[in-house]
Formats: sequence, structure tokens, C-alpha cells
Amino acid sequence: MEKQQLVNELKNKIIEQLNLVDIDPATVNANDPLFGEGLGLDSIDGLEIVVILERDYNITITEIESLTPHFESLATLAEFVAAQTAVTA
Amino acid sequence: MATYCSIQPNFIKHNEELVFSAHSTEADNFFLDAYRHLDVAYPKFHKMDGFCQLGFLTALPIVPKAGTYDPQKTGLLLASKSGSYYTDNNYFSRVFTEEGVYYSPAQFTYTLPSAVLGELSIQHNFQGENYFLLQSDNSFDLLKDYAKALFQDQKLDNCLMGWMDYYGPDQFQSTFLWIDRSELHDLDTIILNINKTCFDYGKATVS
Repeated sequence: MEKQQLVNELKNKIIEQLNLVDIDPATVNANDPLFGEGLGLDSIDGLEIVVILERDYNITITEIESLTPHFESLATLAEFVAAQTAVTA
Repeated sequence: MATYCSIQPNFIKHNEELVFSAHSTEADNFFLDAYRHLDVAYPKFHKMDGFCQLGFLTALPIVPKAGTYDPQKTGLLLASKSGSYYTDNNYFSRVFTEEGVYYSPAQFTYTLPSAVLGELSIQHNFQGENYFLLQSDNSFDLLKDYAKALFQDQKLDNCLMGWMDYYGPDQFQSTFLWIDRSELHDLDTIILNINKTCFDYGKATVS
């Protein structure tokens, strides 16, 4: 899957899973921060993203703290998902 | 100035004045319509369960603007018969009866009724004493006594207090009161008036 395609897929999944009804997907860029500014997610939302990774991408997360650098933006998250799914494929 | 807000399916009243009404009797639609009508931008509203959305909407018309009250001297005292039973039961049902379901951490956070205290405290920056009371009789009596004690102990200058019940998308009710220290001597009369004008808790169709 192309990186941009994966970014868009993750973006749509996150917006749907987190019920971000006021956010227009078109206004969210790949390098926008996921937490604080940007999408404005919080720690519970981070756990919801872990659910997405495990449920939809079959990625097993054993240490949540290790995810921090991968959760900076949609772009870093897509890179993580691509790497993990390549390993398990 | 003491001010109060009450919500039942189909309407929101602020000091007896109708501020919003809708044809929908389902909370998902009613709450969302009310949220949009009240013209507030708070994206976290959409993540809340029905119980917390009810608390959010009931507090909204009566909490003064930030900066007009001391957050550390503002208390939050709420009570309920239903608590978060509806959300808790939904979560429990999914976890224990459905195969292959991934548990939602967000939904789990709303399985305790005190979550509404956190939501309101975050939104309005309340930092004073707070508690959430589960009791079988729908009455302001205990809340009133506790509020009086906190005011008299100089712990509060203001207080948001009230009752809320949420049994499902078509069965909910709430009444919140905002009061400051200067009205403490009138608290009994104010609550008596609320009980008369809002709705009769004793006749509430809850089960």
C-alpha cells in the first residue's frame, strides 16, 4: 500500500473510531501532531489507536511507552504500521 | 445570582425559560441538536457517553464565564439514582457476551459516574471540593447540607450542584443549580422553588 494511501486510511479510521465528528478529514495533514495541537487527542485516544492497530492491522503491542515516537503524526504512525505489517507478512 | 437548568427528553429550561426544545426523544439526537443549538465548540463532547453529555449540557447555560469565579473555591456536588448504569451495562454486555470484540478504552472510562465530575472540572477548570453521590431518593437534601457545610467552612465561594439520571437514550433528566456564597441564606427557598418548578423527582419514570 502506498504511504499516502495508508495515511488516509489511518486518518479515516481514527476519525471514525474516536468520533471526531467536527473534524473534516481534508483539513488534517500527514505531519500534523496527533496529540495536543493538530487532532488534539489525549491519552485515552492513544489507547483507542492501539485498539485500531491490534484489531485492523494485527499488530501486537506489548509496551505502549515504546509507541511514543510513532504517535507523533499520521506520517510516523503510517511508517510504523508499514514496518510492522511488513515484518508479520 | 443563583441560576438553574433542567433537562428532560425534548427540552432544556434555564430558570423556567425554555432555551431549547426538539422533537427527537432519543438522547443521541436530542443532545447533539442541543449542543449545536447552544453554539459551543467542545469536540470532546462527541466522545462522551450519554450520562456525561447530559451533565455537560445541564451545566453549560449556568456556569459563568471563566475568570468570573475562583476555580479553587468552586465546588461540584452531583447526585444520581442511575449513575452510569446504562454505559456500564452496555460495556459489560459487550465484553462478556460478544465474541471477538475489542474493548473500547474510551467507553471504559465512562463506566463510573464520577467521570462526569472530571469532564466538568476539565471543561470549567473547577478545582474545589467535589463528590458524586449515588442515592435512591431523588432529593437535593444531602447535597444542600453538604454544600452548606463547605460554604460555612470557607472552602467554597461558588458551587455547581444537582441531580442527574440517565437510563437510556429516551429516559433521562437533570437539574443543576449554580449558587454563590451570598445566596447561602436563601438556599432552602431556592431548592424548594426548583423542586416545584422543574419536575417532580418523586414521579420520575425511572426503573
